[in-house]
Amino acid sequence: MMMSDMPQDLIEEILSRVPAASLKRLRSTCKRWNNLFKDQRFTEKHFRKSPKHSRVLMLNDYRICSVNVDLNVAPPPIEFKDFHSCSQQQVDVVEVFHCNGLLLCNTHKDNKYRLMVWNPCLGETRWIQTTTNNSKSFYKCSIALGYQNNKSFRSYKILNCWSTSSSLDQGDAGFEIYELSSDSSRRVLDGDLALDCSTLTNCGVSMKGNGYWLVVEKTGTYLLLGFDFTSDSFRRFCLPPVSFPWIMALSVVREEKLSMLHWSPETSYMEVWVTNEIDTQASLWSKSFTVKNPDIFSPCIKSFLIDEEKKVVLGCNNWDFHGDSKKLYTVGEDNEYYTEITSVESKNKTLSPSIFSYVPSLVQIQHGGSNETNNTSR
Amino acid sequence: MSKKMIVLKSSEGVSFVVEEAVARQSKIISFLVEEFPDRELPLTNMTSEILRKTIEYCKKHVVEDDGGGDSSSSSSGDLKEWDVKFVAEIDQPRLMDLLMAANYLDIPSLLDVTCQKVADTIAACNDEKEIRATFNIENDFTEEEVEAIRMENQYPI
Repeated sequence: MMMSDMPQDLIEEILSRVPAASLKRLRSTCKRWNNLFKDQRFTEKHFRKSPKHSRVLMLNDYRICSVNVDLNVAPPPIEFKDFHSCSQQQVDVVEVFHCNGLLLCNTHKDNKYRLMVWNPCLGETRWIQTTTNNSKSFYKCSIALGYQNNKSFRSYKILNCWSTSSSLDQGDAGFEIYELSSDSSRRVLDGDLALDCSTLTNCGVSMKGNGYWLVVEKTGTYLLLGFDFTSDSFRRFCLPPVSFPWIMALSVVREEKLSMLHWSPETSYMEVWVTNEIDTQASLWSKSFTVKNPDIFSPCIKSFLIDEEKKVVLGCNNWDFHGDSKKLYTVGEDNEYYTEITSVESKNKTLSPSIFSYVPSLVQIQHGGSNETNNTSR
Repeated sequence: MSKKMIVLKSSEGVSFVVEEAVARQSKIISFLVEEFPDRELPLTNMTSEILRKTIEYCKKHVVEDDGGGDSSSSSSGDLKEWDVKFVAEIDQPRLMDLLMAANYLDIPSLLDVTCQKVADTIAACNDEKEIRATFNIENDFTEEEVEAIRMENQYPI
């Protein structure tokens, strides 16, 4: 039996098990394979079945770069690599949000902010025209990408939060939903749950199509704020039972678990909590592991990633109490895993670097009526 | 109590006597046994070699499946290991035949391991030339088309 004589469903069954990055490399094998990249039914099947190989990306100095950390060696070597030529385009990336292999980037050029959805694996980009992002000067704009799970396909949406003050409960603030497939935007009416909070300095994460942020209420209570992209509404969830929250950050593990890192000056340990499920009433989090905090600095973690098996945290600092050096480091249960890169090279002193996990996928950027979708090979 | 046996016949006309429980892992055979009991089942599109391999797989899996109530997770781990070894020992053209057989006979677990093995082989190939050589695939692109795809693909991700 030759591969070319195989029925289409078997070819799809085989190729849907090949990781996206490998498959993309091999798309010029024959026309039949190449055509699958444009077939939404196949890309959906591929998304469900293919192994998810996540990579670490870092947004630093308005550029996205790739970070290679080899945890098989102690202390782990950390290497930076160029990620993709698109991130070298003449726009500055101010914020980035990952969901299913798509990167939602808030870009800045000539005093204008524009949103761009980008699938680096397919080399596709789409610029999004929203009503808020190019007008006024907002103190803070926060973005998230998620999806509504329909029977046969996912409808991707962007949540755009803007406010004229550092805290959402002061000044003017609002939320806008933009749907990629219909190219339409609308206000989120039920934003009260979120407006009562101020977001912490860390970034939001996406899990199973919904967005999550760590926030603090007016009363001083910390909680997990979620945005459900199916019902277009906010919900509040319980956090792990930690006392005296000082430094907290949120992360996502293998696209299926939420993880929270917690450190307080009372202890010399950082605790890593994880959960598969979140609940509005009960805290379903469990402590995954604890690492000894390196004595030499306070872990002002803005973003982090974990390896649960090796019990290692890859952390990226926000402000450092002792100056403006920004650190990227690994710290493990076992002291041998400690390694750090001080002062991640950066021209910009106000914008902190952040790390996030990215899983290459063949998920196509949905088209609306009129829009610009381009290959980035320009 | 003696086990019920059935007869499967390959494309070369060679008969294989198999325990019914073994053969019933194929949903097709399971159906045919009920429709045509006590009849020899001709599998005209399967060679003796592939049929023998398929039966070997089914035998292994049926033994493990009724290993009693105390079958632990280690036995399913052992079975996985056996599957990996089983497909690793088959050469590429025969693996494709076995995959087709698993599809034809509707044996989901065998289809799963064979598809996975082919997918792993594909993922391990460095470029399209290696894929084409390994799987005997004809390049049906013009040079211009290949160049256009290469332009799109030139960036590492």
